[in-house]
Amino acid sequence: MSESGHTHPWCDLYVRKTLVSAQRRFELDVRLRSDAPRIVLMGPSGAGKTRLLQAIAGLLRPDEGHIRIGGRTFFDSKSGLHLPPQQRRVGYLFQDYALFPHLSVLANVAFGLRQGVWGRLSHEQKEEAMHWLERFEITHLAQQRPHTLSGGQQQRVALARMAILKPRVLLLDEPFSALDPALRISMRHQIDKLLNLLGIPLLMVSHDEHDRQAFGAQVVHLIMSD
Amino acid sequence: MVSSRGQTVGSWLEPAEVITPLWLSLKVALWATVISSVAGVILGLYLARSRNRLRNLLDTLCTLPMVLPPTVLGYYLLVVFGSQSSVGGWLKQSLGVTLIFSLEGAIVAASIVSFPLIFKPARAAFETVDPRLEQAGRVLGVSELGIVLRISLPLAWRGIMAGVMLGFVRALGEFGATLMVAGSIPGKTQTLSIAIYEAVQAGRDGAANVMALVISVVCIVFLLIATRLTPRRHAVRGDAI
Repeated sequence: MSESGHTHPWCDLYVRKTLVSAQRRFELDVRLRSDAPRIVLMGPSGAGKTRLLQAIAGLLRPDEGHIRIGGRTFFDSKSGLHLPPQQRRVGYLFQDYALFPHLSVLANVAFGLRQGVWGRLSHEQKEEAMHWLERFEITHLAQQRPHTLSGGQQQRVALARMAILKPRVLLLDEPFSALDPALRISMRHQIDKLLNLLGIPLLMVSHDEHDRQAFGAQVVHLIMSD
Repeated sequence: MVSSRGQTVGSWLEPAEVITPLWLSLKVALWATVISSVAGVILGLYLARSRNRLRNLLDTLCTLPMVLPPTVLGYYLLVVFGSQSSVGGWLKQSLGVTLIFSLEGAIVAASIVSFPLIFKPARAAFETVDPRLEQAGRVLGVSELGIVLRISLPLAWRGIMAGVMLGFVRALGEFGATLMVAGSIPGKTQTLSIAIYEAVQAGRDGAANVMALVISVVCIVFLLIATRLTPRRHAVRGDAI
């Protein structure tokens, strides 16, 4: 199932999926092989950028193709392999962050650490979570609920929540569109630091040319065709 | 039908005359609520998540006990669980359980009538949970059971509990189906609502008054709790404690 990553680019995708909604019927068809450590997906809205990220995260099953990330096969229609999202260890930042509204910031960040269904956080898990809160400068928010936070603070919580699990890749879905310009610069900086710290690649959906420049990223354009 | 015409014809009642059926009613209603809560939460979760085309048919079938005449329900139960039927025979042979003229029968009847009042609000409550939160849990490596217990249930519990309270009150007031299946055996299957009927039939208005008052107060208290728990429009998300 896992091959050596040296001979393959970290990102090797071929995704075909027919999506039918009430408004339209639409075909997602993407081939992408790249070893660029930072990739920005651009394209008109409705081109399927979010869908592609969902397919990589395991939340959407393609009809056909394969998904190999970091030398690991997540999906392969030929062999019928479709790893559940739980086994992919990808860091997926939802567009609206999807923080758990019933839990404190600390419990949100530690959420994936606690694998058991019952019981409390262990002392070590709490320490680990506090460490990540510190790293994202949100320690003072530990006991607050997500709805009391600003957009930038919520984003940091979401980033800490996935970084704590040491993901293999960071998938960001238009992470800065809801933030004001000053905050964008600081968040780009934070994410850049995080990528270097974890030593993992980035695949990001964006409309913003500045993102490409800031991350020195390779750009992939998704196009709409009839 | 076993009937108990009171030996005392006077209108004064002994405390046991109210306490015994009240205790039976509470016992039946509690058990029925536990049974239909577990089943109702599971069905509600399934219906909220299912994309199966038959899910609305299933929903309709499970809602039937709410609108069918209780006598029809009781009749169905007699047909299914009676000693002549294969199910009833099997229950008696393998588990030693007889549902006809027994407390277990009263519990089954009450469970069935309260079930729709519990699974429907549970379905609605689960449907208000943002599916992206459940997806976020999956991406974070949390098992499907963990997602239900750590995300879906805590976010839906208010709506579920409101249904559970309604179901309990309904089970407490259950009359028709219980009478058909379990009869009216004093101290065994004669619940408060049946005891009231018997008291009125026997002309013991004093006893009926007291019992009616007791059951009304209990129902009002639980309905108030249900109303308080019903999720308000503005607090559907982020208000769980």
